[in-house]
Amino acid sequence: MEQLLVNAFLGMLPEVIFFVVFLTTCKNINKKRIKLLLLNILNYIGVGALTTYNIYSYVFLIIFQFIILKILYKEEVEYIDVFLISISHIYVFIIAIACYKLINNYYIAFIIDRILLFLPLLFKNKLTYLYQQYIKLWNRNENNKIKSISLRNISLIGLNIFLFLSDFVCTYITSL
Amino acid sequence: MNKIRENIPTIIFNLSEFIIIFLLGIISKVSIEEITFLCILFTLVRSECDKPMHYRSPLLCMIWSALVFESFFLLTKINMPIAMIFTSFEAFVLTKDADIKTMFLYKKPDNSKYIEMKKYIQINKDSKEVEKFENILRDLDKQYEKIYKHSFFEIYNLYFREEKSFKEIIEIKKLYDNHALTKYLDLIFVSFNTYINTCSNIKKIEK
Repeated sequence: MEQLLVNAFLGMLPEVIFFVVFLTTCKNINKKRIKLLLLNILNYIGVGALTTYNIYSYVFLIIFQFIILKILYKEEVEYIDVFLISISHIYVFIIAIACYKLINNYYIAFIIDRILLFLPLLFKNKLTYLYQQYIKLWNRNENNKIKSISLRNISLIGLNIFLFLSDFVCTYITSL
Repeated sequence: MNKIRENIPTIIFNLSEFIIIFLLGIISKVSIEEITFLCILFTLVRSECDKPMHYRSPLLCMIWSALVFESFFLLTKINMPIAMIFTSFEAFVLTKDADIKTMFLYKKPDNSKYIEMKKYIQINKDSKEVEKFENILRDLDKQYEKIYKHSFFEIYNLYFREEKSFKEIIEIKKLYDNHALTKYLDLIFVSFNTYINTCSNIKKIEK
């Protein structure tokens, strides 16, 4: 029971808060944040109950997060936001691997991982700007520096590589 | 027969692209059934969606297709259902259906220059100048029908006389997007202004 509470408050909750703040900051949304937070907590609990730590947990998290966003914000959410959600997962994934691989002490690695989780949120204006640029380049426009189709190709290749690596890491961790 | 001859380079290119993707799959140790299934699934989803996106350069198209399919073959290492889900989704993403549709994110087409011309034509619909200009457009259509696929006169009629929106004209004429339409409208606009200036200069000379 104690471990469950520790996992929930120190493991799950910071990540859920990060996802909610990251998504609402990028999309510049100020409404229904608490509903989004509660639904994402339910999402995490549901996915954790349905799956063990494997690739399906990432896939279901991404899909259900997108569905939750679509239900709450309707027309403000587009297919491009699947890649925005994946980028947030990629960030969480990379800093977790970096911290636990580079730092020998588990507790120090955990604390640094939780601190680094919220680092991008210090640059809220930059996040919004970067997302606006991403959106600008998404639709076809002859004046764009990067072609729309190239940007979409890079996004989907990045997503596929992330899924492949996360499956590799999940398999490695569960085999320990 | 002529159509087949015209399409031979496209057919050769598509075949060679498929062969390269197939070989990449074999090198990545993916089974032939999985390679074929993903290729067919990708093609089917894109063909069902509205306006799949393409590169104009065949070399770029080949390189990116190879990279994209290689990333799909990576997913087959996880398992086939995940590869199928993400192949279908990503095939959909590479079409116009996945465009951002929210109004405030679109840059409005700059049609302020056409507003004046629109007002002039609405007011002077039956004038001789407008009638002469419409004959000029019809002549341009006959002269340039092989170069420009769509009729200048029809587009002029739809936008300036019938006052249809960009979206409606794109649907009627089956144009790719706003940019394809503005290309025609720009030519019509420049022709009209040149014509009106020429007319006014002739009147000045006559006086």
